[in-house]
Amino acid sequence: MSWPMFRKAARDLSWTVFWYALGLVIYIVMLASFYPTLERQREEFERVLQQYPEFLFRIFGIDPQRVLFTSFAGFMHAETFGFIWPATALIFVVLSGAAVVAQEVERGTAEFWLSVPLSRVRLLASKQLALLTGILVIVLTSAVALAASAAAFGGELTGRGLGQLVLALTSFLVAFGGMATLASALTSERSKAAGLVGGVILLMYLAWILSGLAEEARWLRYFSLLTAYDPQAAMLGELAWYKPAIHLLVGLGTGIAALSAFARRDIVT
Amino acid sequence: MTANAPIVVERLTRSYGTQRGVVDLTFTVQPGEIFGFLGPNGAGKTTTIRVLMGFLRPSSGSAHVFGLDCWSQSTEVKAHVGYVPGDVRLWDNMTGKQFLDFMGAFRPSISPERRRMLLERFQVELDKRIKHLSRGNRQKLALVQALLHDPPLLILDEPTSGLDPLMQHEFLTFLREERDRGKTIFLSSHQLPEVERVADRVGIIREGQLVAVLTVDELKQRRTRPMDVVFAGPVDPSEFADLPGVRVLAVENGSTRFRLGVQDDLPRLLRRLSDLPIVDLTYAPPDLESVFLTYYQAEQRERQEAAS
Repeated sequence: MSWPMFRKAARDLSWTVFWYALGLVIYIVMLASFYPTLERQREEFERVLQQYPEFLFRIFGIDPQRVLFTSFAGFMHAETFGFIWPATALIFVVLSGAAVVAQEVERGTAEFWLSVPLSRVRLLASKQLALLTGILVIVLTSAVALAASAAAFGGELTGRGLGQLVLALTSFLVAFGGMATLASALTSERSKAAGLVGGVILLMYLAWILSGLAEEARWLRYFSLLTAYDPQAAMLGELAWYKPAIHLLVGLGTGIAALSAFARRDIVT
Repeated sequence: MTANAPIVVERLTRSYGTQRGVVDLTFTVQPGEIFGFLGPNGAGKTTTIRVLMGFLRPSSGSAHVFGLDCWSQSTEVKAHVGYVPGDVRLWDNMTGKQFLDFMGAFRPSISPERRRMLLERFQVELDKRIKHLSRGNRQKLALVQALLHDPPLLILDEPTSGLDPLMQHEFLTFLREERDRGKTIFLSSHQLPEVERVADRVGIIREGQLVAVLTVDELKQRRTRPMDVVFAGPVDPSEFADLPGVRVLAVENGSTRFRLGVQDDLPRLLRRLSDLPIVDLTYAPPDLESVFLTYYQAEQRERQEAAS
């Protein structure tokens, strides 16, 4: 790790992190503010929702077999953490992760970046650490917003549930952050790296939806990291330990692979 | 001596797939010299420098800086090197001061006096964001960051591009001073006059191959300077036939306009011209092509001799 490199990378990310974190906080608070209204009309609302086809729930990350609006966790999962929150946070992670190497090469700044007497591994690890810090800021501000909303709008959320949610969200973003830095370490254009990871996410998303819709396609869930993403269980304090472990392992593995690939590749600006 | 020389390149080849990069380069840069690396655009100068900086892995052969392998020990190599890339692209959102602070943070010892001296000498703008700086000012920032830590070896890829003529002169003067302080300088350029002004020795590269390594005096003997002469009336080209260092390259406009290639013996040529009805004269700086022409002609002669 290099402190000057970490400081620069963190500063480069600071405004992006600020706007994403702020946007997600506002969204969480806004959605949570509807909870008291929906709670009063819960039965009526669930009756209406049951008329919709299962497919519609699946594409927004909702398992209709599980409770929907019977709890604050179910409500916030359906409205925020099932689809909008991960989609938004993934855009941040993929674009920022894709920039770590490929953007330096693309913009020609890699020649200065790599002319300092520090190994490529340490330079990139510092950038990865800055990305991890950005992820933590986004996750923690969202968690604080959720806790404050639960207190303000009468939602049930335990400290254990909040802790597990932080773990679930962080590990989920770490997995895709690792992939994005790997793609960036292998390519020389940020758009190519981001496109590559975006394509993988899309395929995983499709596999995840299909696996929930048809019994014969259930095996597809093993090909999607979204299967291990379970914020609802986390908010209820019932997160299976192996789910964040899978995400963290993928993140760590791809992050290390990124360091290795970057140390070996040619830099042609 | 050679084993730990500032730069030792041995049979270095680097290709980009089917594209040529550099082929079988061998040369050594000695301590305390300015080594000019001269060649036209696309000749392979930047590829060689990128191998020296550890950005590219050699396809075959090797490159060493102070005895350190440029690929496997590139981190250690960079501790001894100040580097200016050929195409200076900086982080646009930084100010000049932030950029120098950032680059300096990786170096253990930067003397404040040296920093102050460099900033004053090159008149660097520190407070503006880099995106608002002119090309010349960006180039000056790049030069200062390479010199800040007072490295024993400077690797400079076309360092004067973008600088105004006064600053170019100032920078080349500074390089000579650094050389006199015992620093070694590897200077890539496609401008023959610039290299002639500062270098002790010159490596000439063309189409990825090292054509020659010469002292500057040897180089001067091999290149010609074009001279355009206009006369008031027709002049017989044979007027120049007995001047050994002078060749008639072209005769135009009814033998009143001549292009001469001047390699040597300028005083005799000027005396001869003063006897002729001269009305105008342009003496251009030496160009790189004339050096290559010398080598082609020598190669052609060798081939003809071998054939006969």
